[in-house]
Amino acid sequence: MVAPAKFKHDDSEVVVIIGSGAGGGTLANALSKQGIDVVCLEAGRRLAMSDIVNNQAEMFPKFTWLDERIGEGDTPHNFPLWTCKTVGGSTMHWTAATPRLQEHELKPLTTYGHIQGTSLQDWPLEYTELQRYYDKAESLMSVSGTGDRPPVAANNNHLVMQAGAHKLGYKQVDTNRVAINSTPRDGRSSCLELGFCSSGCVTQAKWCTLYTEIPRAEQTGHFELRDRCMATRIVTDKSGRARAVEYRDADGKPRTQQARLVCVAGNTVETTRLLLNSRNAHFPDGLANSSDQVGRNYMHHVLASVVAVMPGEVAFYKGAQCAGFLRDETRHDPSRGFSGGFLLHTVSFTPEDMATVIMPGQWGKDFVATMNGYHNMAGMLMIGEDLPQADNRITLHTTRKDRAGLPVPVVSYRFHPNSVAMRDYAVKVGHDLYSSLGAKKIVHCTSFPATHNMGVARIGVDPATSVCNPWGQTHDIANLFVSDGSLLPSSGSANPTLTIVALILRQADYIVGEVRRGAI
Amino acid sequence: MNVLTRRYFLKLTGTTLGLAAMLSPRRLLAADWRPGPAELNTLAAFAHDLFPHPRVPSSLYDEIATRLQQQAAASPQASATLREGLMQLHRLAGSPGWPALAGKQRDDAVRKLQGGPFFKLVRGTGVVVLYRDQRVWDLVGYGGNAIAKGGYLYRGFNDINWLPKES
Repeated sequence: MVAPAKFKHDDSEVVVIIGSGAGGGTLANALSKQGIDVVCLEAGRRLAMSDIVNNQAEMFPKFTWLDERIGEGDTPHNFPLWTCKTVGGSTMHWTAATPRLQEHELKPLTTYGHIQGTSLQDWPLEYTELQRYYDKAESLMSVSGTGDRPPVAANNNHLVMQAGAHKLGYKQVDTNRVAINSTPRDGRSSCLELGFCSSGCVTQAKWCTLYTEIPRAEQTGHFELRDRCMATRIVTDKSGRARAVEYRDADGKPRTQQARLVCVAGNTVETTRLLLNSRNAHFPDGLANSSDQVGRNYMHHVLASVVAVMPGEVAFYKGAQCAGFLRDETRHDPSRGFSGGFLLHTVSFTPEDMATVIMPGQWGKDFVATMNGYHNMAGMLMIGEDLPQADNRITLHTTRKDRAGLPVPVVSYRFHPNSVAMRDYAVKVGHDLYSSLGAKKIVHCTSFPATHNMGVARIGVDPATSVCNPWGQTHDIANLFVSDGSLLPSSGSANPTLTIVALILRQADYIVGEVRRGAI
Repeated sequence: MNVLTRRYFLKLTGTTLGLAAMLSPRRLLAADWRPGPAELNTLAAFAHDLFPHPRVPSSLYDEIATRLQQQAAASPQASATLREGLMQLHRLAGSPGWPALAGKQRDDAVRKLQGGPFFKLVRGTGVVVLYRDQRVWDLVGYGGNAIAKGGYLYRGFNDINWLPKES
């Protein structure tokens, strides 16, 4: 065992990574493995495995980001995003669905053409290049159903979706792919089908940086994790380079860590807040924001969930929550009345979720009759391509401050008509699918706090319309990188984590090269 | 009596309601109001109207009322919401009181409160009390803590037997 490194606050050779989730955690391990010294500032605390229990209500406050955020428009106003504040970030909460983006989803502008109200942009990298890093990401995360890793078993909920899908003539329905161990691998257990993926995986069958990338980075001797440390500002020097990061430590004490390189991986809202809040005389509109693009083009996927009370028992809470996919509708087929496509995957909800998220405000005999059908419920969630719109954006409230004294983020989001058309179509597919098997009652819900957060610092070749170059290096500041889902220029119809990890592994290779040749 | 309550009281006395309805909520207008046994009873009955589970023990509905009482003690805003809500219930039910009202009439009355602050407070509290309770989980068929029983890998995660055979 190597003792985790400790770096001095005035050590200006370290790379400072802000955030320890899919982006930050992956980057931390990838860089420290190459001998690069890394300090990771994580706002949340480091949970022990014994803190993870099979109780959603108990886990929620342990790792959820609960500081004030304001939602505007078509997003829950009090709780627009469901992200995490904990070591591991949202990989604590994710359900480990790891589909790849499809080739055409990297070229939305070329494929769909200009769509009014959108700011569509093709990706500045070739699909083959992304594929290469998808392979690496799947290997790193030990994704079941890829390479020689067998797929995970199908649970009842998936078997219902599969049977209905086949009745409707769909073909592409299986349990691929998830970053959940189908066999013991990577020093982690195989899945015991607990059904608590989104409350933290106590068996570690689900990939989560808390117990993969972070401890591995510590073993290199080149990595220091500082948990309960909230980054508040990135400081730049006279030449306009990032020089240090100011943060509050676990005791609330202001600290400054010098840095050779700063990588921001706070998940869209926090990444935006940090960049904008770091404005100074040299960068009056915030860092990396000469284009006014930071915070814009925020996407969170078109989401809808259909839950049906089936004629027999399903017990959809048993087994991995989202380990079942129907891919036929992910194609681009404008004859359906919208551009882009959607993935359908299984999902389960607790009784409390059913009452609050799926049937909010409902009451009385009908409501109770539905709840009493809980053990017969089957459920699915659509993940639809959300088109970027410049005014779907994250900004900072001009006067309102949170408990830490930071400006409260405001998330403005409105559905594009394309999203509404797609959502209505997908909800109908869900109804038809469960009806084909004799569903007794079907309910659906289209309003969720966002868990898939993308855009706001997208990669591109044109500094006027993007924040970062194809490697996630900001156009404006050579030693400032964005290292999370903020980079995605389009959302496609794939859950974003695999793509984030792939982009960050690619970014890590680039950073190592640039550091070695002395460029940054 | 604050301005809002006074306005409410004037509205209450000035319009369609009879003498009994006017007299009974007097307690609710007291400055040091806290929900008493009769009001707890009304709250439990109202919670049951929202969540009329046939086999859930009545003690759980009493628990919802108790939690509402605790919230009223902790927060002036919750207290005001409860007080206004109870006055509305009283206005809608008249002198026999809410719990004595026939089910159909109660449902009609709930519809008038649906989506308002009192409805939201009781529903929100009711969801937490009922749907985090093992007894309700057992009734609706939710397993709760899975790791304690070794997960569902060998306990029915894929045991479905009623699906039509695929040709």
